[in-house]
Amino acid sequence: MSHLEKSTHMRKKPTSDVVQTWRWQRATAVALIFLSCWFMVTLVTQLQLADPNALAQWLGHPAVALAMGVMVLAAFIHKHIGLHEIITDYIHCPCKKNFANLLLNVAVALLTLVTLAAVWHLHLVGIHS
Amino acid sequence: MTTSNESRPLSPHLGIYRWQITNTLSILHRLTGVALSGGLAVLSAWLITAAWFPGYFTQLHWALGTIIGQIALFGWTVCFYYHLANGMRHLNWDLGYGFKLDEVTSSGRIVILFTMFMSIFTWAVALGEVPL
Repeated sequence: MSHLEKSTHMRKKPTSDVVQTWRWQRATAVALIFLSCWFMVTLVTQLQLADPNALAQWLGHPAVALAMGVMVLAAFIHKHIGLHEIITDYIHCPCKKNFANLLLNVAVALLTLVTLAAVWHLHLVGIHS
Repeated sequence: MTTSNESRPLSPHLGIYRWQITNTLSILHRLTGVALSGGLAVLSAWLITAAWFPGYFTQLHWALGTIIGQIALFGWTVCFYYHLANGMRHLNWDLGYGFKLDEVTSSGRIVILFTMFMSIFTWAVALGEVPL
């Protein structure tokens, strides 16, 4: 079997969940390199931190709100994968492990949704002010 | 002699290894990741209170301004730069580069220097010591 045939053959296999998770971890990592650095620079140099109105005005710009939304989403996905990995490695008792994973899933899902809603809300406030 | 044991531990046994730059940086990646997930929760609280609870936003801002809050923020800054730099080191490995022992050691040293420099520089800018 030639090298090419072998790789085509491998590509036909369904991708396992573990591989998918690995890819998501790397994809969010690469996205976060750019987004988190951009956020850090903005945080340190531009935002008037004590003022929610300044924050809203900043998020009123569509590109900023979009970047912030994507950063929040990527950060929570990355956080979920990382903490899930730690639970898998260090909690051995199945019932404790399941409980920890349930807690993690609920907390991350809830926080992600509410935080994205907050970004959206601040974006709209920023447009109208 | 090797025996199969169902209840064998799955996680790395940190206690039996000598601490070297390689394994120290490896476990620090996890620890800083855990710390940063706490930081992300604060970032969420910052956005959520700014959107709907201005009173709590003011309280959060006050809390982050106290000495404990400032130490926490500085700690998160260090964790951020460390996890960022070491994460890029990991991505480089994923691409298949930098596996030789001397490369692993020197990239580890670069990560430490980057973290120290950027953390101090960022706070110098934030506190107005360095104009940008």
